Amino acid sequence: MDAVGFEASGHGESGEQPAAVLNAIMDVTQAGGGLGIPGLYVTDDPGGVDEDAKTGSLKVRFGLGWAKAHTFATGQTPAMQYNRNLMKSILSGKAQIAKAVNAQLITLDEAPKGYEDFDKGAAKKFVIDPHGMVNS
Amino acid sequence: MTNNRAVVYKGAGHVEVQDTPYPELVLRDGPGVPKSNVDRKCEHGVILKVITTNICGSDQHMVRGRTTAPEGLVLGHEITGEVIEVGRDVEFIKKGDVVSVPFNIACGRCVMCQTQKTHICTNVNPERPGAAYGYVDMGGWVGGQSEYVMVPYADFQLLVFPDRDLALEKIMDLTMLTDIFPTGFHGAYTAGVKMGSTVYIAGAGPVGLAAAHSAQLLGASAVIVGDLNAERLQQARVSDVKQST
Repeated sequence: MDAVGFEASGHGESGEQPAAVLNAIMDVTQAGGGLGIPGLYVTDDPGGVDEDAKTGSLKVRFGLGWAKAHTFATGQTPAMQYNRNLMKSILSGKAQIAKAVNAQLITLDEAPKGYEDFDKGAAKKFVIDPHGMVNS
Repeated sequence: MTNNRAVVYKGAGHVEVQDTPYPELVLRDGPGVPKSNVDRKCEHGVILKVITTNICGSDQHMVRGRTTAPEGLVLGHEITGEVIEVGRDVEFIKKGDVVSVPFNIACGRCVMCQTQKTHICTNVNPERPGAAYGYVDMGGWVGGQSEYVMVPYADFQLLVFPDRDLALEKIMDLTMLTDIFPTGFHGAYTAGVKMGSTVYIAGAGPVGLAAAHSAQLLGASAVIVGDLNAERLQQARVSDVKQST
């Protein structure tokens, strides 16, 4: 699965390589396997590493995926297909997603700091509580 | 009227909390609103008092200046809240309901919605299939990192929590239903993860960890997570939530 998206960095190399994760997951996934790509890719990227990347054209080694008969799943998630059953998993205690993603409650005024910390790579999922309604 | 406050994108690397208009049951002109979406009536919508609203990794792409997001855009598409006003055409959602808002705005009336493909609804964004709150190229709908927000197509879209007290007790988990948990789960599900699967996930940010948890829920026998960030990799170890707990 690609949970990185188009601002990917290559392993052991400096700088951004937008296709690095797509190529890596084709590399490690067995023949016949499936590639889930929740990581986001765009059609316009003003900060793209080269002219091609600026329009979302990436150096993807598609031939490798084809040779290994991989399936690629792209696009936004249709959240409504999953949210009701996942809610039931949460309410039953089976799913513990807040713990899994390390949820951290902040105020609305702390949001800019949250963006900054998240950008620096904080291992947290920031949850804004604009009215102070949540007891944590 | 400015009786609202929201997180606003002010240009690359810069967000601010600002006074913003209190939402109405109509989409007014504003940053990123396509012409044919301006003054779109939303009597099928509701106004929410926002209980929680999460920062998403995809928001960071905009804030880093890596998209064509317009300055002045109110951010936020992961919204959980309490209904405080219902539009004329809302039949079933009631004031006081505590609800999760799916981040994909969807009309419930087009062929895509009728076949459950709400992420590519054809009626909510004149520029491309699919829409979302507070996101570049996603129809100009006002984001929900704010005190109050308008949600259209309320009867179709909103997931109502069955019990208000239980919902507030579990809100830190339930807030993840708007996007990140379904997105992680969708990644695992569409990759074909099932009982016994071996799964590799590139990225130990929140979506990667949500995908890892989802892979475990789907019965994977081994879940491997990779990242260049040691702190996030450590979090993946800490997050290893076994279902036997």
